[in-house]
Amino acid sequence: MSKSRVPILWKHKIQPLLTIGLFMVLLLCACSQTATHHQKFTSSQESTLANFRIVKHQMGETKLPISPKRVVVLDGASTEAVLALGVKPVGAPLKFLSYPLSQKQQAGIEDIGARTPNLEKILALKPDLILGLSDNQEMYGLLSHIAPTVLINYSYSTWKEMFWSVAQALGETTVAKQWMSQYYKRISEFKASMSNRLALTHISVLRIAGYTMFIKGSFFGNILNDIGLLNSLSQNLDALTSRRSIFTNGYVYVLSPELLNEADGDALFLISDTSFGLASAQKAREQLQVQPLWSKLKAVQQGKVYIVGSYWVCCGPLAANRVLDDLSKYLVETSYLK
Amino acid sequence: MITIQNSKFKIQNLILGKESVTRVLLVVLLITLAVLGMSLSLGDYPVLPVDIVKAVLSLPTLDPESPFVVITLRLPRVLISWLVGVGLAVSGAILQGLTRNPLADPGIVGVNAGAAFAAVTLIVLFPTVPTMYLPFAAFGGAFAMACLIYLLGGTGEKSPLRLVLVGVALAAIMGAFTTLMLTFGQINDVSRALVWLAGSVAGKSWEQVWQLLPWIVIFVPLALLLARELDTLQLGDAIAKGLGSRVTWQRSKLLLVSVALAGSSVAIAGTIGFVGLMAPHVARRLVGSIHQNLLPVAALIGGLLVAAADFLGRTMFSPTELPCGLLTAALGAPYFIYLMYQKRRR
Repeated sequence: MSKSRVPILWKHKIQPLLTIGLFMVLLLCACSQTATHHQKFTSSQESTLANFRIVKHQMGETKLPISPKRVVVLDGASTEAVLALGVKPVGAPLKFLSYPLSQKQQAGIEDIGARTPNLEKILALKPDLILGLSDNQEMYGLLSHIAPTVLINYSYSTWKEMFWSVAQALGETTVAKQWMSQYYKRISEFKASMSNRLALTHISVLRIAGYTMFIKGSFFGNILNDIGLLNSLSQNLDALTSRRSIFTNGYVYVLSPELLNEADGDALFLISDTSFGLASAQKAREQLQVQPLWSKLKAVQQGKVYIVGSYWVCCGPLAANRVLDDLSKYLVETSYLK
Repeated sequence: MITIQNSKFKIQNLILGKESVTRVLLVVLLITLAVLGMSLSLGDYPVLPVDIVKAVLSLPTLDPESPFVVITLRLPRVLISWLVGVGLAVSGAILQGLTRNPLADPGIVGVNAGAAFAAVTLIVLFPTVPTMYLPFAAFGGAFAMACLIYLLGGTGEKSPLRLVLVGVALAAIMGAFTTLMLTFGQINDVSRALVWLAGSVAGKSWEQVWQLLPWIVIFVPLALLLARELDTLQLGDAIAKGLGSRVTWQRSKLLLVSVALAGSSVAIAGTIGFVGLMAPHVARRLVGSIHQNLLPVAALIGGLLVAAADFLGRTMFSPTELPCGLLTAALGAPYFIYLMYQKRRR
C-alpha cells in the first residue's frame, strides 16, 4: 500500500511514551512512600489508645479523644452545632454560610474554605477531631489520615438529630440537653404569648431567589412544626404537595409568578438572600413587588410582609434561635402595638 | 497518494520539520514539569523545599507531615489532573478529526452528558451507595450514551455530521434530566453532585490515580497508532476508501478510543469542559494538523492546562478552592482567542 509514503515522524511517538514512563517512575517511588507514611500514622495513634472512645457515625466507627481540644468543622451546619455547644472550633468554613457568623464568633477560627474543604489548611491546624456532614464522604479517607473524623447525615428537617450527633462526638451531651430544653422553653413561651391567635395565624414563607416556597420538610418547617404554627397551614400544603407530588423534594417547590396568591397568608416572611450584596437583594425584592398579583395579597394589603435572612433556609441550632427571634419579633411584638 | 495531498488537500504542516515538533513537545513538557514542581511545593501547609525533595525521594523528612502533604495530598492531584487533561485532549483531537468539525469535543459523543446523568442519578437516587462506585457509574453512563449516539448516527458517508447532531440532541435530553434530578434531590446529595459536576480533583487520592492510569496508558498509545487512519479519514470517505481504508471499521475503532479516554477522565474528575475542544486547536496552531504530530502535542497541552488550572484553583483564593473545571476555560480561553487572533492578522 502507498500509505508508507506518508511522512511519518516516528520519533514523536516516543516522546509521549517517555513522558508516561517518567511519571510511572515517579508514581512508583511515591507509592512506596505512602505506605511507609501510613504505618507511621497508625502507630502513633495506637500509643494513645487508652484515651480514646468510640463513636458510631455515617461512615463507620471512629476512635475519638475523650475531650477534643482542636476541632475542625467542615460545613455551616456543624459549625452552628459546635458553637451552640460552647466549643470554639480552630477551623471552619467562614464564607458562603447561610447563617453568617458575627465578627465575635469568627474570632479565633481559621477559614478552611467552602464547598471542598482545604485539606492542607486543616492539616496545618493540627486538629484532634474533624466534624462534618456526609456531603464530604468523598474525602473521608484523607480526612481520617489527618485526624479522627466523624461525618453525620443531615437533611433540613433532621437538624436536631445532627446537633445531637455533634454533641455525642464532642462529648457535650449535657450542654446539648440544656440547649434543647431552652429551645423548647422558648417555644412554649412563644405559644403562650400568641395564645389563641396561634391557631388562626397562617404564615407562609417565600424565598425571593427563584420564587421558592418552603413546605413541611424544610428547616424552619421543622421549627414551625415544633411550635404548632404549621397545623393550620399544613392542610393547604398537603393539597399543594399532592398536586405537585412528582415535582417536590419534600421541603421546597418553585412557585410560578402566576400562582403568587398561593404565597398568601396572615403573615408573609420573605427570605432575602444577601450573599450577593444588599443592592442585588433590594433589586430582587423590587422585582417581586411589581408582580401584578403582589398587591392583591392579603399579607401585602395588611402590611404584614416581613423580610428575613437566609438563616430561615438552613442549618442548625443558631439559625433556629434566629428564626424564633423573628417569629416573636414580628408575630408577638407587633400585635402589642395594635 | 502524494499527488492528492499536494494538489487539493494540502496539509499545511508538511513543511514543518521533525525538529520544530520536537521543540514544541519539549517546551510544553518543560512547562508541565515546572507546573508539577510548583504544585508539589506550594500550598496551604508550609513545607520546606528540602522536605519536598526528600519526600519525593522517600527519605526521612524534617517535618513528619511533609510526606503526607507532598505525596498523599499534592501528587495524586497533579497526576490526576494531568491524566484527565491528556485523556480529554486526545479524545477531543480524535473527534475533531473524525467528524471533520472544529467544534467537536468529548461532549458531542455524549460522554459528558451521559456520565453526568449517571453520576447524578447515583448520588441523588441511591445516596447510600459508596462513592467508590461513582466512577464506574459515570463511565457506564458515558459509554452507554456514546453507543446510543453511534447507533442513531449510523455508519454511512454522512455519519460524522449525524453523529454531531444526534450527540447535541441527546446531550440536551440528558442535561434536562440531570437538572430535574438536581432540583428534586435532597440537599446534601445535591451539593455532592454539584461538586462532582463542577469538575474537581480536590480530595482525590492514589486510588483514583490507579483507576485512571490504565485507561490513559492503554488508549493514548492506541490513539497514536491510529493517527494515520485519522489522517486518511479526514480526506473524506470516498478518498479514504480509495486508499484502501476500511472506513467504517476504522471510524468505530477511533470512536471507541475517544470514548474510553473521555469517559474514564470524566468518570474520575467530573465534567471538565473546554479542554477537549481547545487543546487540539492550540496544538494545531503549533504543529499543524497531521495527527501523528497533533495528538502528542494536544495531549501534553491538555495535561498542562488541567494541571495548571488545578494548581491555580488551589492556591489563588486559598483557603477557598476553585474546581479546576471552572478554571480551564478561564485560563485557556484567552490564550485560545489570542491564537485565533494572531492567525487572523497573518
